Amino acid sequence: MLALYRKYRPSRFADVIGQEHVTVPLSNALSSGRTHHAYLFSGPRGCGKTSSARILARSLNCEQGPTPDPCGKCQSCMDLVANGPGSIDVVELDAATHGLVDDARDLREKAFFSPVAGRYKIYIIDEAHQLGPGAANALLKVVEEPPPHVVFIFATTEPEKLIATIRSRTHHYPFRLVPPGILTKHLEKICEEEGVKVAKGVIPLVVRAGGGSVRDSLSVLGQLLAGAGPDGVTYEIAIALLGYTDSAILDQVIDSFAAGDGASVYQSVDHLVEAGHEPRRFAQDLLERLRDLIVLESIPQSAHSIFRELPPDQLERMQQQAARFGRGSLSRAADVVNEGLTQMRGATAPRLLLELICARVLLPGSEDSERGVLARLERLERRGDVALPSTSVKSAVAAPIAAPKEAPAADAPAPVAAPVKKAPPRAIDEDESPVAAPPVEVKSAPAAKPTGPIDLLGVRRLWPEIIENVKARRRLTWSLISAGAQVASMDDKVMAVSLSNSGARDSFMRSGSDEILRQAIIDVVGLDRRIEAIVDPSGSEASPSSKAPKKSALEKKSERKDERDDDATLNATSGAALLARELGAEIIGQFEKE
Amino acid sequence: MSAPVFADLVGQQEAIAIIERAVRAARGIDVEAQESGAMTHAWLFTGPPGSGRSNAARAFAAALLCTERGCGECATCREVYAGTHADVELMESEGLSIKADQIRELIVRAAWAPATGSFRVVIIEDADKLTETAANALLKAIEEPGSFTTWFLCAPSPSDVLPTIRSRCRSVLLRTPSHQDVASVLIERDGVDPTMAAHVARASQGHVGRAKWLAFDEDARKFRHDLLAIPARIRTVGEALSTAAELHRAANEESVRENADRDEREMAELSTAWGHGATGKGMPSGASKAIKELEKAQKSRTTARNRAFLDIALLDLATFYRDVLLVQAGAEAPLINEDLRSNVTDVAGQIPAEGALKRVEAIMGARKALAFNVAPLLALESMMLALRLPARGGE
Repeated sequence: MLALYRKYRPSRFADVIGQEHVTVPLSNALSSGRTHHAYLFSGPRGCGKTSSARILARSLNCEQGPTPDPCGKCQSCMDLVANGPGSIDVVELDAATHGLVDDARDLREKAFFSPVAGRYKIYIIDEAHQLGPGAANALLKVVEEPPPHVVFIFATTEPEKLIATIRSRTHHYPFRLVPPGILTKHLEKICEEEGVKVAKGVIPLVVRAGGGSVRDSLSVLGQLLAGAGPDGVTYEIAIALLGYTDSAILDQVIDSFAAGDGASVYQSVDHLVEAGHEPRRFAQDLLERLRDLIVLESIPQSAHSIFRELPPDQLERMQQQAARFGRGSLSRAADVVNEGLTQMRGATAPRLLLELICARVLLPGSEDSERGVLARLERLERRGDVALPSTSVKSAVAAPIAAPKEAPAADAPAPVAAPVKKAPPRAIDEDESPVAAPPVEVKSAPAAKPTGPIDLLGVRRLWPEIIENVKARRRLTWSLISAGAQVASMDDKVMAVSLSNSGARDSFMRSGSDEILRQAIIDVVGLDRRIEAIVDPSGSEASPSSKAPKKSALEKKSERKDERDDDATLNATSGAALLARELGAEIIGQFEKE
Repeated sequence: MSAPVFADLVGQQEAIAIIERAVRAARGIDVEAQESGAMTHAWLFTGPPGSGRSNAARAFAAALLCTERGCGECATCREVYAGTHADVELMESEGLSIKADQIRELIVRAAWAPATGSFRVVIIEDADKLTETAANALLKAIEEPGSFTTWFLCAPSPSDVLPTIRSRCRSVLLRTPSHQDVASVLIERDGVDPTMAAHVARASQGHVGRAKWLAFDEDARKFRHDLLAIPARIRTVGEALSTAAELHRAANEESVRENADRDEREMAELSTAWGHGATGKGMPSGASKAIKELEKAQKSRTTARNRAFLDIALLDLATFYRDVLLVQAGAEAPLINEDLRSNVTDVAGQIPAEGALKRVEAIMGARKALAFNVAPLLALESMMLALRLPARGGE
């Protein structure tokens, strides 16, 4: 049983995929008879260098040739077919084992003998970067002016290691990694030929694991086909065999990172490792996800075209994650994970290192560098634009109460508008109307009352984070408010939260959830308000997110188990405390208002 | 139920399933597996230390060659494990790297026809030690070997071998065995008391060998306990420095104690060989040189042992702060040092989470410094100073 990458080695240029920039000119040269006497094929692992060299040899020596389309019937073609017996006129050398000067001299001597059967005597020198300096120099003269019947083909992954004098004597054809689209089609075709059913979503996994190299992808595919059950390769088998982290777990961890919820991050890691996931693999997947989020954060407009293979709901989730994280924190997190990954090479305790990576991501304060400070600042900003009184007062003045509903946000001064960019609900709309986006929030707030409109908007904007924070405190409360609760109104003392029906309201009040929510709001927004629960006057269809109820139904099972102690320590009550905690500020003096 | 030869692979059910399927396919027992390509010519076993990479490779080889598919009892199995089987080429590395010449020689032997069965197996135990030239010399051989030859490569992680090697192999991931797996193997195989087994399984973080050592060595357990009391204890500069000195001394004593008998025996043998104690003119010239060389080799062995000892100790210390971080975050995941929970919560209350992380970084810094040959005492002192708890009343 041959490995797939050997079984499906191409025998004609037309079968080499994703290298048209090489195969087309070579085919043209063959048909017009303008072939050169020395070629250099370079490119990353597994993209068709050696295969192309063999095809070139076959094309040159075909009895009907030289032709880009070898007949396949003559002796030479049959000898040189992929996995064939080989021909005495085509010498394939491994420079890693024959890279000494004596080997080169030997080759030079033998090159002058004419071919036995074919038209040309062809030397394929593979891994040419391993040619020693002596050997390469010894070859120079013969590569420059070989006898008419000799063709040299050098193949290497590292052309820059080959001496320049060899390179200048050859035609250099750089091969490239194969783009995912072409690779996907190729793999699908092979699955069909192998007669194995492969579930949807498996091929993209293979393409991802292969990293653009055909051989890597086929190695992985071969492994999957080997593990296929009677129903073919299912997505679950693929995930398990490849050791990939399920995207649901990644979502969970990223969400916990964004919410700064250390407990659930460590718990997820514990579950992962106990379930047999490889910590290093997980760190790699995490890094990839962070990279995706950074891309999403930077160019939200073209998210759909970049992440074409992702289902829309997953994309939406990732957009929310990106918005919740913030650019500085994202890039810092990616840096931290990347550094951690290099430390994990050959490490003694990969799990411990993974947990330390998580701790570093969670605690930007432990880092004295610029990026650590930036991440902390970002965290502060997102709370600050709501909590700092000066901003809200200024905006309130700038936005007259009588103005039409779009006015407050559209006219809002720059200091408010800038942080707004990071608010989760907006990021989804941003791709269609980057300029007129701010009013979108107003649309979902029909009950807005004139008392402190910016604060109310700010709280609504941070609502998803508040819900996240509540989730960390107590599952029951979370399941109640995530099912369509909204902030109805707010003044200096009381915040009214509307729940979808009276049953929900009753259990909300009975369970003491108002206190939990109050603490969560203090923590996230920095405002201390008494919570009053009301029944949503506009009926139950006004739920802010249509996905929330479904999700909560799933989670309800675990709510009792996960209920936490209510006496969680709280330390953020005011802007001053926030400053003290995040930036280490000290109170020097206090001034009374007015 | 897997073949007896796989019994030593703790908690690697997935890998064992893959290997057994491949064996069935290779030996033509399971036609379906054969057709789906379960067997291939090049395998890469990766997993953290202690997960049994080379054991997996040997078990695979034994299962391929043994008539019972890995009984673990017959001559074939025993020969494979001892590395003396005619059809198994075992490349164990003693030095720091595997050189290209060794590989070229190996490639020639790999192409021989099998002497007994229908397979020829080549095992490279530390593929991460291949030099670049050596790895490149392997490429062609592992891409298209003869129809009998199968290559098994072992490395801690796929990123430890060249991408060109990786791309030619089918990779088998061995995972860190879970605590339960380690504990149950200790209970069943070695007859360790269940409570003790659970404790050492956690403390060793899934390294079976280390867990066994902790379970049977009273001194090792005591040392570990004393070591992990350090974080909750040191406050002043004086305490930090004296603790560093103690740890340094302990490491020295341990490494000397471990090697002393062997050193002495080797020295006695060498002197006898050079004619020490014989009647006559005394030792011939050259004796003192040979003895000096032996002394040098012994010294470097002691140093290496010393470093390894300190490295394990520092990693243990790091697990303490890992636990502190977990407690501070309120996570319910089990602590590695469950037996010291009171110490952990005590420290967790005294330092902020950032502080715990900074202490871990200090420990990791010290490990790195030791690897770069910094004087051990200096590295330890600098680390201990960073580990100090704040004076009572806040940091």
